Amino acid sequence: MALLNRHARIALGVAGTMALLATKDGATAADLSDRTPSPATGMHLGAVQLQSAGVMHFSRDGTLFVADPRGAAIYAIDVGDTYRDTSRTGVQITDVDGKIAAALGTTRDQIRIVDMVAHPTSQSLYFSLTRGKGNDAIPTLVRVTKADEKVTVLPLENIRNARADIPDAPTADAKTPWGDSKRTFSVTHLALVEGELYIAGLGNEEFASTLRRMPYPFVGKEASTTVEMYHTSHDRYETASPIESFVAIDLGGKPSLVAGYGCSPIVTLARDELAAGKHVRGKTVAELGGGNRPFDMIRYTNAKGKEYILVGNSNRTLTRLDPEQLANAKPMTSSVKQAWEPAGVGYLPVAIVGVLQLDNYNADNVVMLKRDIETGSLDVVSQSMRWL
Amino acid sequence: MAVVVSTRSESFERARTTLTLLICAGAAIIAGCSAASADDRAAPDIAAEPAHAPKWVEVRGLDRTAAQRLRHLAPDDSVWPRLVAVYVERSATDTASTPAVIGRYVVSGNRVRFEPRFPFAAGVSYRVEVDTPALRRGPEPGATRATPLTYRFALPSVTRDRTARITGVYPSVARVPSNLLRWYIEASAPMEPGNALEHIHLVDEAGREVPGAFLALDQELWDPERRRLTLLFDPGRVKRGVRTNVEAGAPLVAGRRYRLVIDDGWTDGTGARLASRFEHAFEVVEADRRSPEPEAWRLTAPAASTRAPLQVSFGEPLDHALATGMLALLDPDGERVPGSTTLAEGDSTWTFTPAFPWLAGDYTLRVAGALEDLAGNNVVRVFDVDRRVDSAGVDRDVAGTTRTVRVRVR
Repeated sequence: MALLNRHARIALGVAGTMALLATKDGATAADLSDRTPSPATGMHLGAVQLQSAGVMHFSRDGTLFVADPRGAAIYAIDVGDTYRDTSRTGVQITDVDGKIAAALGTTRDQIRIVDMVAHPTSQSLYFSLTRGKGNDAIPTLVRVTKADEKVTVLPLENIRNARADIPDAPTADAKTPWGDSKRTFSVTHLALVEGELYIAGLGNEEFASTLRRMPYPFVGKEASTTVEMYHTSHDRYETASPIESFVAIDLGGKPSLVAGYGCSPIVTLARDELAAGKHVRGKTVAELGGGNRPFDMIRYTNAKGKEYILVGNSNRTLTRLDPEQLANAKPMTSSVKQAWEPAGVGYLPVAIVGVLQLDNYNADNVVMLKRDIETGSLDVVSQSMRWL
Repeated sequence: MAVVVSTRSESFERARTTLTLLICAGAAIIAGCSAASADDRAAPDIAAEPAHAPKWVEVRGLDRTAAQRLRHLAPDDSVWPRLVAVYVERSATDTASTPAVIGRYVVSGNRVRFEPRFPFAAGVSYRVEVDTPALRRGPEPGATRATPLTYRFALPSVTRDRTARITGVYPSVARVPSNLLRWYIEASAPMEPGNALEHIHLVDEAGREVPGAFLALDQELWDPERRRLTLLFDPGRVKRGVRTNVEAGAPLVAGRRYRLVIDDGWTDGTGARLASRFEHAFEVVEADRRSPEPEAWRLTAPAASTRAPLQVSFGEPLDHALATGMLALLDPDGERVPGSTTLAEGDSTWTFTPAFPWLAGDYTLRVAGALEDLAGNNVVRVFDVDRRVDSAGVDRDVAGTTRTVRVRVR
């Protein structure tokens, strides 16, 4: 019996060697085992066939989530970025679009940056973008390192990833009985919140504010939910509107969501309400003023241990909100006196303008993609949280 | 000894080099090059014409030892750009350091070929730098690059024919409510996304552009083919009780006339401008703050055993896209009836022609709750509910609601 077992082991060993030799692309034995999904993450080694480059989010362990709105999918990607940078210094990359474009063999007017996020441990910056324009545009993910500004294209043709359909999203090939569907769903913001991926966005047909939630690791469509979100303008008019950005945070000890809408109410809601129903009303507690979109939101804790929310705006300076004030705020009941006037919970207008992307960076800094209003240069810059 | 590299626009000479640098675009060029290929000792004169769309850059004439050593390097080894690097030529005012173009390097025979990760782009100039001593020796740690052999090439810009047109906008009707929520703009060819708002203008009776009328989004709302753009009015200027509406004024005022103007600077997916500008004139009437009411629609029921169309008159124009996709006809057994639909009379009439003759019995028109009129009022609830007066439907989820209308065929 023991002898048989030994023979069996040898046979298996030979088979394994043969399998290794048989791989044409030089994949290692470890790669081979990667082609079957890992039970822990559902990831496997394979191609990420992005049809479009959308918004991104890094989980704390360095898993990159990327939305592909045209493909109606979300990818979780193991970017394999094992470098650990524990430094607390800031980052400065001038003319970052020119540098990325040059590395991609083109000029800056031929790339379009969609999103920028920072890797939680390597401090490298990741960009989703299209290289080329129009019919020639190629959705691409790019890493730029902090120290030497090295530009790398993520090898999407062969990378550990898991894919999930965006729940209830109209897909490009979904057909009505009378012709091709033209429906699409554009993702404005996504984040991993306690094992669930929250996806905000808007469709190109019906007007609705929906928040989709899907468990991660991805387990299938059945486990996903879609919640219709409404909010009230000065306690009277209830409307739907696309969520531009959101941040998960405890308000008054209660797991909550702070969401920013176009034109630009700030709305809070308790996360347990999301689990309860298909129809949720948020509480409008602040108005950043009309004509503006709060496109990015992060939370951070300053040197004194005080937590804040930082909002990147399309037509305002960087804005700081105090979660304590949000937690204690009553719903706004009156309208503002003039256009663009802020109301409700107050905010600190931070003297930084031209911010296009915003993310947490390291222990001391937040990071921004910022248009220098003097030179017009697009730069990656950081801001110390010490004084923020 | 000298290598002369000549192109249409330039030629230059460098002494004491043993490498040949060619830009090759295909078999014809390789053949043209091979006659002139160099060995380690000779100093050949080379003439190479870059084809109009080179796909790679090749350095030829490596000596055997160098080629053998380089063969061990991985195609993406970080050493490569120190030996052979291709750069995008930038303007003299660009002082920031420029990274080399990303690609892979393959050694074959006495050649190193650089294949860019993305195709070389039309209208872009490139510069190739070859560190010839290092290529022979291998790079020395810490050594700065010797004066490189430099070669430049450019891909000419491509001028495309202007053929794309705007084929229509929806709503196409001459009168729209002042709280109109969106336009759909359809083009004859895929368009370039990202700058639509620069080219779409809302113009009032006096010819003045209404500023900030539309919602700017990071990602424009295109259909999968990029032929139909959804353009939302800024909800802040449409919704009731939002101050921007009151102060900056609603973008559309009842009783006035406007034009939606799409200028011909908008580019299609090939980079060509539109063939012509597009204008759509319309008049604005009072705001619509009522949900579509399927129960009140007028149905013209067809006769059994015919394939006569079923006509449904909404009594108002509905959203063009949703009226196409959110209505379904079910037969007496609850099965979907195959057939074709058309929208007519400015999207206020829906016509269904069955593939097979009607059977006598009760058919059902199923209406999705998300079906909207021009002002974004859906079947379940109005666009902006006034909680003092509109309580209907506010606690129902829109996506989960359907209405049905009976269609009796005799």
